[in-house]
Amino acid sequence: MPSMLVFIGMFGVTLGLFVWLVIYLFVLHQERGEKLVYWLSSFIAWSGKKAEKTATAMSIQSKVDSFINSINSEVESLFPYNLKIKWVASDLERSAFIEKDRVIVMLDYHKNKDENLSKATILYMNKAVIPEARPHIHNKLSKAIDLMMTKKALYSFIEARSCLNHFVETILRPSTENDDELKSFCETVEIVDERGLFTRIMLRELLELGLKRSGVTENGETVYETTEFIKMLKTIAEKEKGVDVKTDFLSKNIRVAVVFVARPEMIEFGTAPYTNRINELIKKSANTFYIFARSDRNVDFAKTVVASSVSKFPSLVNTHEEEYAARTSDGKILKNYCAILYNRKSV
Amino acid sequence: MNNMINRKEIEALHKHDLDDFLEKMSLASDFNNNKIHCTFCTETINKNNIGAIYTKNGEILFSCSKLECLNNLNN
Repeated sequence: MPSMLVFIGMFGVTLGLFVWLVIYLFVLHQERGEKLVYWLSSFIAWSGKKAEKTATAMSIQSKVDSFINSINSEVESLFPYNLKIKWVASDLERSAFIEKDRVIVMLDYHKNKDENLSKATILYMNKAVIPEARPHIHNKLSKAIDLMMTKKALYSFIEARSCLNHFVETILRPSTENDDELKSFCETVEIVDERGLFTRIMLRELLELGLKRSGVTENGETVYETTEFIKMLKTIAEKEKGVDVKTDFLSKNIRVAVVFVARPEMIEFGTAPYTNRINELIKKSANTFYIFARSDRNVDFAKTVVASSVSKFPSLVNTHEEEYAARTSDGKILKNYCAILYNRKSV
Repeated sequence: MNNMINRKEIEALHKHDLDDFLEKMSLASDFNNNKIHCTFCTETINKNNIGAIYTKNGEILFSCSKLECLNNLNN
């Protein structure tokens, strides 16, 4: 009898562990599950088409999904879709194949992962990054976002760096060489990204705008608005230490304020100067407040400003808080902080 | 759980399946006789440089594997 109990106990633990592992790998952290499936299928890829195709698909999906997860940790739902490689059946009839416009990427054997990864990433970005906002932004800005997002993704695939060099040499450089407008938008995205504002503010606001304006025919007004907004973000990103620039943008669709908790000498005055400014902007119906701080002392104080604002103004909801590393205008890497407060009463 | 539902599909064809696919599309003969070209750079498409197959208004078109040509498929 005791040995039976030991058996049940062990079996129960093993089963529990197995269930937990399945949930962990295939629900909570799918990119890790995909890596595992890739690893297993690449071992048996020689055995048949199915295993080879699974290895090829998983090697791409696991990397792109890891990148998506890292971006979504900065802005929740910026990438609402993970990537899925859907194999086209080779026995599909011609009439069925041509009945809709489609793009089929040709993928090589899983061992040729660099080329597969570059192709899939390029085609994925345009489909997946802020698709709703595309009609409302300048077409060159749209292209710049695709190019810079692809560059960012390929850079993150550390084990496949040749893809990045190949991409820069064959796409990024030739695309921007003879197109000053595209080059300018790419430079804007680059500097805004270096300051940590690309995903946290730019893409987030464009995503919101796309959702807000979905179904509305674009007449050029919103394209102008978004272009002006991008210009303001560039000014903020390029600002030198101690220089004041305009940090609120209150237009028809985008109504945001960026609050920098950046001057240590202000700490002795308490949170009032910041909460007073936030209050003024709430009265002007600012929709979202981005609170930024850099360096340990400012970061701690910024957290106090955020807590004080949320308790003082019931319409504010703290939707996001994070610490991250970013580059300053003089090239130093410092600890940064970002909180996003949403004004529920904004109209 | 959302991740399980929300996936953007990219359709793909594995090189394993290319011959069968071309046969089904009645393009095998043109392909093997070097009569198929990249829409963007006009290079002749073969098994080593095929990048994508796409359809437009009922026509089957090809892009070579150069990233600058594939990038045009996003426009």
